[in-house]
Amino acid sequence: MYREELLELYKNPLNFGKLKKFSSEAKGENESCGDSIHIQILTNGKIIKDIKFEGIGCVLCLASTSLVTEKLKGRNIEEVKKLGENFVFKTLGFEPLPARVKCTTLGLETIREALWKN
Amino acid sequence: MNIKKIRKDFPFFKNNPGLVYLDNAATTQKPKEVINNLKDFYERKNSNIHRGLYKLSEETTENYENSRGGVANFINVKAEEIIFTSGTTNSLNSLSRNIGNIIPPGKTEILISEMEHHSNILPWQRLAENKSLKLKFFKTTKDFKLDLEDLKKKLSKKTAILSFNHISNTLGTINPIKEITSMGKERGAICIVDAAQSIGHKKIDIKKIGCDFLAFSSHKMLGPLGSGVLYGKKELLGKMNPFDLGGGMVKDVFELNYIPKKIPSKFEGGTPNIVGALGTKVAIEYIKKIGLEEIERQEKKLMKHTLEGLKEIENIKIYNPGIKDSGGIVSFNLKNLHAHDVASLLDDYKIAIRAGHHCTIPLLRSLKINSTARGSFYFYNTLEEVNKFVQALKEINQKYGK
Repeated sequence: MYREELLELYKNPLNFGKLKKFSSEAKGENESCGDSIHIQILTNGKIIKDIKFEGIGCVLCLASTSLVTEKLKGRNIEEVKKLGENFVFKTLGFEPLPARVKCTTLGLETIREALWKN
Repeated sequence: MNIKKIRKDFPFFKNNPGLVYLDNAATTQKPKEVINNLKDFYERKNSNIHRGLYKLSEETTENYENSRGGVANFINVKAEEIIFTSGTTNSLNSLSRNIGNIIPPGKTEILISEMEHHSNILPWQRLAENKSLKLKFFKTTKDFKLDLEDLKKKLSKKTAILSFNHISNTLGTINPIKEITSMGKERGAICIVDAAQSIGHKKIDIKKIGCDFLAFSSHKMLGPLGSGVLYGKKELLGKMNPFDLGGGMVKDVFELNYIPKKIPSKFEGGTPNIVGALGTKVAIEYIKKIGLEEIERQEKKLMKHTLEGLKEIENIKIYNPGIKDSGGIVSFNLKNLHAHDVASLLDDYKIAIRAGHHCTIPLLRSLKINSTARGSFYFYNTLEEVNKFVQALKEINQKYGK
């Protein structure tokens, strides 16, 4: 589960920080474990142009959010709204133990929430 | 204590070779005596208690009452003061739902510690709301003990209920329950002990403690899941209303009212977990055979070794009062690695621990953390297992701590 690549992303997450300009944003939390992220998305109304996130979390949460944000840039908003946990598992390359699923899906869920708000 | 030999009594270890099981505060493994007892009951003796006017039912009734006697003897009280429940949570919930009626007039406060499990917090929140009482908390010190000075300040003649744990399931702290009880009694408070983490680990003598109620689960002391106990002082139980209403708890029924049975039957409405109660007694017998003093000594040995090992790990934060005041439970965090990651990484080493808030969110909030990794021991754990645990943590810390 803990590949070198994921640990590297935990130490140096991709797309970490704030956007100067954004179209929507949302906060997501896993209350039981304290994962907490803030996502900002820039779109042109149809396509995701850029995503950045900030927050604290476990290895799985931060690494997964890194990979998911990277993969969603350039994607159609309506398509992204329909994505679920399988997309996350595919992006990660494995399916986590049930108790850890919510760590990996927090990023995507928060992105979807931000998009639905718009 | 020959641990190698003792471990052979536990089929779980044979069936999980190489697994280092350090989640005993969540549930303990079961000796074959307990497992065989369950099997034997269902295969040969399965029948309900009370009024079955046939031999099997009479035997089951007798065995069930013998189990009550066994539990009573184990904590030095009368058999009629033992109520079988489904576990600590159920014990505390049933108690809190019914204790309101025996609170003397003029008493308006419930006092509990900051170190409680949610099952010793939420029932009191409900009672406070339903009976317009005020729920107060006394604090934890910086060295992870109960703050008795704060308790002294908050205890008063208004304190109706004082409820606290014997051993903290998160910090491992052994609390001075005798001292706390006598402080509470001086103010006329009803004193309640959550003994979920101490039963089967330490000798509990209610006569010496002096508390009014005490709750525990069987499955944390080698017994079956879904079975537990509420001890209550006879005079108080007599005054308290029945718990669940229905079969088994009633002497006579009219259209508009009923006459309950005497204690403890009036608190055991419905068919109880008979096989659970029987298994509880078998577990107690097993524990007595090993000896509680011997169990305590072994846990101290394991904990001393663990704490020494953990202290060598760079940047580790340990949430434990130190060997003198600690049971076999230790919480910790590695720097910059979430407790859930620590537990998942240890799982790769075949080491089973627990991580999270351990159902003590108010305590963790006061410590300004949201989770800990927690290892917890029982007498069947070995020093070799402690070494594996510490070594694995060292490797994880070196590789992943940032």
